[in-house]
Amino acid sequence: MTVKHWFPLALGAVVALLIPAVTHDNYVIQLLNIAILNAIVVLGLNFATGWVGQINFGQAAFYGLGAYTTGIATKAGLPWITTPFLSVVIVMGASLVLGLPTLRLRTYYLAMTTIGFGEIVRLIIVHWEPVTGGTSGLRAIPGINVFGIGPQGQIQHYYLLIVVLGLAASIAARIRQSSLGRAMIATKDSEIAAEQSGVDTTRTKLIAFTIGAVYAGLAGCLYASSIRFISPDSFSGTQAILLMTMLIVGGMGSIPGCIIGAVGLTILPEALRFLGQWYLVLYGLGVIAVIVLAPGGLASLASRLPRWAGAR
Amino acid sequence: MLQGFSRTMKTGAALLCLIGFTNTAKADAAACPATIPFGLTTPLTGNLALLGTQARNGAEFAVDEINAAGGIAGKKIALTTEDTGASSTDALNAMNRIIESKPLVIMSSMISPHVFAQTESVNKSETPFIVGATNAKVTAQGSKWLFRTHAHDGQLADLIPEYLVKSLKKTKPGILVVADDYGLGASKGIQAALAKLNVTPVATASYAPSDKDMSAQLLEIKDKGADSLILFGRPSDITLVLKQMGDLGIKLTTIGNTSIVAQTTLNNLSAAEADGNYAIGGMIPQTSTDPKILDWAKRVQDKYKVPADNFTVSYYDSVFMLKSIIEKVGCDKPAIRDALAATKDFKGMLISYQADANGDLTHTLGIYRNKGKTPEFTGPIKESGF
Repeated sequence: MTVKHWFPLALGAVVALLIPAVTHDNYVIQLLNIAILNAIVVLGLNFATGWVGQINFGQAAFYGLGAYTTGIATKAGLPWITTPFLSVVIVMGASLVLGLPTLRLRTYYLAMTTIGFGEIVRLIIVHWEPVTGGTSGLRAIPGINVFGIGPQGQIQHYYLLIVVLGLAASIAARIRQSSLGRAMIATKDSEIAAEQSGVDTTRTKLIAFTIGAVYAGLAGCLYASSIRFISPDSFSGTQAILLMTMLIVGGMGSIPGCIIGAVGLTILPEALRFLGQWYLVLYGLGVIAVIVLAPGGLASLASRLPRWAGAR
Repeated sequence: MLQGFSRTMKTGAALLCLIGFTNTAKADAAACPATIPFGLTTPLTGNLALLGTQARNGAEFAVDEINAAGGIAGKKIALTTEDTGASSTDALNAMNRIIESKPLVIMSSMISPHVFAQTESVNKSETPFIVGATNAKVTAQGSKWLFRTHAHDGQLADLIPEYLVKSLKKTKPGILVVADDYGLGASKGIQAALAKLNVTPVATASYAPSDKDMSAQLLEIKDKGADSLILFGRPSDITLVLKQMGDLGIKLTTIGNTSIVAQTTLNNLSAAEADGNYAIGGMIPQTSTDPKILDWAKRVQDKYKVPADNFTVSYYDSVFMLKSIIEKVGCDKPAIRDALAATKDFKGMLISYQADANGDLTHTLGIYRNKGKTPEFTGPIKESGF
């Protein structure tokens, strides 16, 4: 790894670690916590959509499944340490049931089935009130607690989530560099060519889809335990579209792009609050501008800078 | 000698305590900061904006009136409003932002999931919290800081079946509700209240908030022989249901929440579609016969281009209730909370407010009936025990 590669990473890490030293504003820290959780979910979405080229609108539903599994389990008295595993089991099961029949097909079938899946999950949450709390949601969810130790306050949660995001990004980078990662890219470029080269494209798509669901499920688990309140509107179809927008704006297929897109689009609406009801207009224009001017997302701008400098 | 000294010290300490208590009791609005900060979070964008702006309109109109009249003991109120959008996560963000500005009191919207998401943060900030959220469980969370100034669906769920069965003599109702926190919560309560009256609904149905076609649910209710319809929803979907009833030729005695008589609903219905439908809920200013209240409703409509509704009234009253309390106890948050909890017979625009053990302040609701496109006030109806 050259200086060109590690310097931005080191700078990002230092900035991330210093933020709580600069501000103790709970509002800012909680906003960043939500942005980090969104970044983990978008990193998951990047497997199936960014690297394999499958349109997946089910990521918000997997996020919700992880959150509700955690909320229900901890409120039922199960120790918190079991909930990440339970969340992973549930989302893996759901992603396999959904992906096995769908991912054998090409084109946009996954997009259609994941939209339906999201709606099914939402309806179950809304109508299974004795367990899920219905539209009122689940309140007073126990916090993260591993054998009596857990983060207290927003800042400790922030550092924990930064560590988890770092791990999630590292694992994604390792997968990208592995033969599985190369198979994913090959599948995206041309399924027929990939199959001719010996890649089992159905298996590759299914693994990417399932890994993405696991990322979302774990993020959901952390969301429920750190925000301590969940309701169906946080995992709706609107949220699924927002997650897809974060991926596109940040840069499909780029790990830093996923993080930049998620953090940027979580913070931007809050930063534009001073515009009142006009913020949606500026927000929409900003998203359109990025898509038109930088089709590769914000991450692609970094690679363009040297070229622009050279042209001058 | 030592005993005498000790007695003197005790007497001195008692006197100091007494002086301290006297000073506390004398706390008044004159000791408040130059501007008194109020916070409000409510949906101003997204699909809940139509409702959320009513909270903003009511609170803002009251603040403007109070400030124009010299404020609270000469101190102006500074109202900070934050948009929650439609999501609970955004509502929590908005609340955290408000809390960081250290307001003296916080108001939040009528959207219950938003209030559920926000309550823990407000509890930690130890700030008096006034909401209009209609889910009955909102005030059952055990928060000593939370108060509600609007009628809740638990009251409606009891009073609507009672009025339908005992006064309108209908015993075969169908139930149709919007499948969100408001409608589904109400449906459950209505079914329980009907059971207490030995009435079983002939059909129970719901529709998603974004649905545009409710004809299947309406035909099911009609085909099962309903003699009446209990309808719970938001003005936008209630309008569609009443229009589709007209289109399908379904004529049932219809009763529900105040969306049935809201101006935003009636503006989009014909006189035939609106006529004869009943509603029970918070107080609507347009049905008053008091010229002062009608003038107020006109001024609100002129300013915001949206007719005032029951929520506008409740947020308007909330601000005046807070003014009255701050004038008495000053800008001490626990004292404001205690005064809210001790509220007894505070005269609002249309009703008197009285706190119960949970922090609910509204116990009088109105019965309305549309005459053509004009809602008429049939009479008040009180929660049992008040």
